[in-house]
Amino acid sequence: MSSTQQRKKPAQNKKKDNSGTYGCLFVIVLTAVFVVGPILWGMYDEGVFDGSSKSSETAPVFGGRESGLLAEQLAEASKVQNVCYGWEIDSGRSFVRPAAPVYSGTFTPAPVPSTDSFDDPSSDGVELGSNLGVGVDPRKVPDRCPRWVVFTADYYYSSIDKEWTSVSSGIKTNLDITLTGFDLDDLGITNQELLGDNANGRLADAIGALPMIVAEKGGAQPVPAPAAAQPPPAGDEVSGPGVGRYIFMGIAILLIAGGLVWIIAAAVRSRGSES
Amino acid sequence: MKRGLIGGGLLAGLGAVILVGVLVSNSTSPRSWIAGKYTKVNATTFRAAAPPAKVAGEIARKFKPSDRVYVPAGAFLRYPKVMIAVLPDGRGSRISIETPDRGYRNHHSAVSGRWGGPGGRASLFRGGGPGEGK
Repeated sequence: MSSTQQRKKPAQNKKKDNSGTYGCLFVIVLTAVFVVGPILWGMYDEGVFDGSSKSSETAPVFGGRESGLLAEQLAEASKVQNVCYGWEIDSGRSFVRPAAPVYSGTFTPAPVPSTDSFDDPSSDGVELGSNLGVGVDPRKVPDRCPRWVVFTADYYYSSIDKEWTSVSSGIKTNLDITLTGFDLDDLGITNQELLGDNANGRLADAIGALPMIVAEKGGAQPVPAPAAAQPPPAGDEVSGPGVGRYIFMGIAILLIAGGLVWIIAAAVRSRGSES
Repeated sequence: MKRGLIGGGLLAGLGAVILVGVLVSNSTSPRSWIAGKYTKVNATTFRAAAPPAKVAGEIARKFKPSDRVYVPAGAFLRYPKVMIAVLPDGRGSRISIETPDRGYRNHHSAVSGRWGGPGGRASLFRGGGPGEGK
């Protein structure tokens, strides 16, 4: 073996070690771009970096369109079943500013008690609504609501975490049937779901399901399905399955490709050093 | 070579596990289970003796939907490739299995704003709580 060959061998070894370093860097870059990046974007999208906690402290549970829609859905059910339906949600925060309800042109709500005005922030953080309208508690209008069912949820809001940390929910009624929170559990609307990623949606489901549950228990006849499908207006279409699935598929494909490139690069370097 | 083989193999293996997980979760569909449990009316419609709340709960417990909507008339369960509507039918229920697009059109009055809207953007009940600010 010549002296030139003797000097060359350590240099080749050093080159071989670099493949592991490049591989690690490649993994770090992939992780940063396709894992950390989407997570940060998701946090940004959720308003984590907004720097203002005002909305989470004072925003109502339901927006105007949402509470108005719930009241209208319950009104349709109430007409069929002769039962008043309502909700009472204590969001555990003070100074919640209720959103003025938005109704379709065909719905006429009952007058809201003057103590529950939409102009001033609520001092108790409790939001009410019923088939009579947003802000109307069916239990307080016995002349119009001799039979009532009300969904209740009592949240604990952590001002440190700026989110709900616990909840107790249930169904109150004066009907001659037994209704409890377990009836909601059977539908998959658990307290855990009421604290989850789509808590508002689950609250709406709990309220919307009340007439179905009452019918199941024999307290009233079922609300019939809509007679004819109302076709959506132009441009109104179903949402996609979400970007989350594609992000994970992209990560998976890149990891597989990265792994294969790493193996091939190591094999090529190994073959080069042998020759 | 050995280090590259191990490192690259682990990386590709991790990717394969994630890919399989995504593909398996995307193929979740209760169609065959419903066909075996309830009475067939036609290719996409089945009948159950129990009321909608009970039937929807059974299906949702067996196959966790990616989202759901409960309205006074019935329940709607969404899966990656199908949308299931459980509506009252006499004393029992009628179960419809439809594609998300067709289901959205057929049950627009119930799921509009929740599972779609103008340009495919859902706008109602999307907050994680408390309220719209979050």
